[in-house]
Amino acid sequence: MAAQAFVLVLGGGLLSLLAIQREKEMNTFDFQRVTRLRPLELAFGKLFGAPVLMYFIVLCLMPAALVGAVVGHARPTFVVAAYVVVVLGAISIHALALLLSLLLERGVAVTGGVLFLIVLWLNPLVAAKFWLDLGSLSPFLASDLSTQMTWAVMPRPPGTTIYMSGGYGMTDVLFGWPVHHAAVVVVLYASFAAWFLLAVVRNIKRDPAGYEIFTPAQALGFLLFINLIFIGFFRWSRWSASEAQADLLGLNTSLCFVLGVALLRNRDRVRRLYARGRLSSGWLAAAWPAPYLGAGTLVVGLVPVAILQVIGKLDGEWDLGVALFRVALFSAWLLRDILYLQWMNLRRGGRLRVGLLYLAVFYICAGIVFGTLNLFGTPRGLAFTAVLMPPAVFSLRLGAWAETWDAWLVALCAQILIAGIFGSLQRRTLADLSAPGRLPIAAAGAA
Amino acid sequence: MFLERGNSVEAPAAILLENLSKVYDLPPGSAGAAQAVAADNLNLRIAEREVFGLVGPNGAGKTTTLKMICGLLVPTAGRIVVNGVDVERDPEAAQGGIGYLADFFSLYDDLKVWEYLDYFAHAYKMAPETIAGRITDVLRLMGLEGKRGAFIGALSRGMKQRLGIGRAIIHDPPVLVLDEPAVGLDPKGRIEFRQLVHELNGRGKTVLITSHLLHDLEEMCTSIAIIEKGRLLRSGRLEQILGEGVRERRVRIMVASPGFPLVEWLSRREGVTGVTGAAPIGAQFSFAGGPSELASLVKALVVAGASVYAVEPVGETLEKVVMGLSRGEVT
Ligand SMILES: Nc1ncnc2c1ncn2[C@@H]1O[C@H](COP(=O)(O)OP(=O)(O)OP(=O)(O)O)[C@@H](O)[C@H]1O
Ligand SMILES: [Mg+2]
Repeated sequence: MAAQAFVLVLGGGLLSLLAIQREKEMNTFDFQRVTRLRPLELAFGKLFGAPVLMYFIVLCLMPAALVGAVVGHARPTFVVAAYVVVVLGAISIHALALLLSLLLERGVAVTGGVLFLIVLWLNPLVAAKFWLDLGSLSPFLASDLSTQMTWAVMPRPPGTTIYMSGGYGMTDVLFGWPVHHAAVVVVLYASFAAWFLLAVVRNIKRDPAGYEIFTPAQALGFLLFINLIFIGFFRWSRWSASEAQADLLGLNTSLCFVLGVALLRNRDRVRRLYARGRLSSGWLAAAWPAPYLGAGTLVVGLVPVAILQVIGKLDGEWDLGVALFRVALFSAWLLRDILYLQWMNLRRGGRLRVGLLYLAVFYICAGIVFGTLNLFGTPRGLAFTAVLMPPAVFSLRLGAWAETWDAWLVALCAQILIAGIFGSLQRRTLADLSAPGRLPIAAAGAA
Repeated sequence: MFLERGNSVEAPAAILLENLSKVYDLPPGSAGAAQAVAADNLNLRIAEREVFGLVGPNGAGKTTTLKMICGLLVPTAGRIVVNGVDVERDPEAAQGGIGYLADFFSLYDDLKVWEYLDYFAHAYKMAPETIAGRITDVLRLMGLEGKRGAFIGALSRGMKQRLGIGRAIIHDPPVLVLDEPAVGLDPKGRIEFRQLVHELNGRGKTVLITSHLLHDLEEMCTSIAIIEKGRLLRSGRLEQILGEGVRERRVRIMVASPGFPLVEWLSRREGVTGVTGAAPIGAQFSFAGGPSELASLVKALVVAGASVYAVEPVGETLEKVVMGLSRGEVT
């Protein structure tokens, strides 16, 4: 079983990862794009066509595995379930690999994808098992599943953390209800595969300059979906309210960030919008998608706060004001970084990658400098570091808040100010891009 | 801007470009402008059943324009209609009616020739029962019958080119878009290719071709467009393009009397200018008069003692027109 999972998930993943890359490199991808194939058909063709060899190998290994199962007195239903998990898991991973293959250039896609697959393989328990009442999400759990003896779900004693610690079956807790892990995993795989496929299908026949992973509405849907999973399986009982908020806020901000990067417009798009007169010159339109994402972060940040308030398991560290402040600070922070990246991306040559690199370097350097200055140690220093590195707010104690709230407000204002600077830089770039000399078309098209 | 005049206007358009523009970003390191305008407000109307040649120097924007027509690139602005279908709105429907050959491509080396065509026949959603027959037809048309079962990796460059053309026509599209299709073909192959284009055109296909082999184009095309730096310099029927700018006819006379001072004799005649030539065998000159004046000139030449064995009009070649235009005479 393990061997089959290995072959299908890793081998198939790699082949999918290379599928579109190779075609693009050989210049044969265009020929497939000009056929009558609908994007969905093309995507499905790639999804099952690229790893077809691996499916074949799995089929060859199957008799041996089945003999093993019979000898080992495995329950047939679990063996079937294990296959379902492997295949569905493999499909969802292949879909992700296909998406990477489509969007990234070869080196980046392969490195990222291989790293991801290795993590998946080395750590079969890979899952947010510390945060979530959820077992392993890796398809490699199939070999465990095939040896299970009972479908019964047993609520675990509250203290246990590691899910497969024997004796409790494969139980997850969804909104307080125990559910069998296999069912959860199957549903998750299917829905993630659907999301990834949606992105592939949307883009596979497009001009690479016009790739856009999701529409804003779809991005919002994806965000809500992830949140539903997280909130549903969240280990509310294990964490204090403020820790819970910190985790959820951190998660949502990073998600918004990733989606934001995906929504960023490149020069080609902006130029097209201008040329067709579809881009107004207002501030809001010019700053897109930053305001949308800032608002999104605000909303998904406020939801856990509301939940925590309703659940009412609040402790001494919990303060509604601090919680709201955190959300506000994070939204402003996201606004700032997205505006920066959008600006970088609109500059000549589309420097998104460089922008991301600068950003990473910036945070690492700032962290080192502040660390050596021991600014994280003092309440006021902490507030100061938040000007550049807002996550410092997670170390903010309630007592310190009372003393240094003014400094923290300054940090918040600083975020907004920096965001404003990047916003105006971006506006300048846009103005340059849409200048009459730059767009011979705009005038002619209007005439 | 420059729309076609004359007879093609009433025929339905197979390909219609309206205010088509495409701007590329250039990498920051490159010198000069930050962007390249590969198509600058192009307006072009290619009527059905035309063989249309797109001509221009390297980097003129030919490939870019063709890719936009096939829906592979999104235009920065403007609209493309192929067979009445807006390419951007309904790419699959438009693509079903186009056969596209890229300027630079490779094939799947580990497929056999017929498998390759079979794959694309399915991708173009041909009726399964017609596919086998169609593959045989196409292979015969491309002169590849003998290679039906061969692996593509074992084909020569020119054969691959033929197979590429074969792939482009497999689904019998009404419009063919061929980007430098004659590259890599031997002289015989090029002649065969011209015949193929004629034959396809005879079967009612519209063919859009780019090529740097202007002589080939001149023999194949019914219409021509000349572009440079994304701008349309001129477009129209081939005769029209070649005829434009020529007020006097150019004539070549060949004589078989080595001692005769042909150039001097011609230079003294009325209406004759610009005499060039390899005297004493032959000469070229511009002649202002009509046919009867030319006839009397030839008569006088014979009377003067020259053994004239050939008199032929010399047409303007496409090459010259293109060279003249791209030096900036017309913008
Ligand atoms: N992907 C690209 N990125 C940036 N600029 C491009 C890109 N593709 C083409 N260009 C630029 O667009 C212009 C037109 O290129 P195109 O390939 O359409 O020319 P062409 O007429 O086909 O030339 P050739 O005769 O050499 O095939 C050139 O200036 C080229 O530098
Ligand atoms: Mg070209």
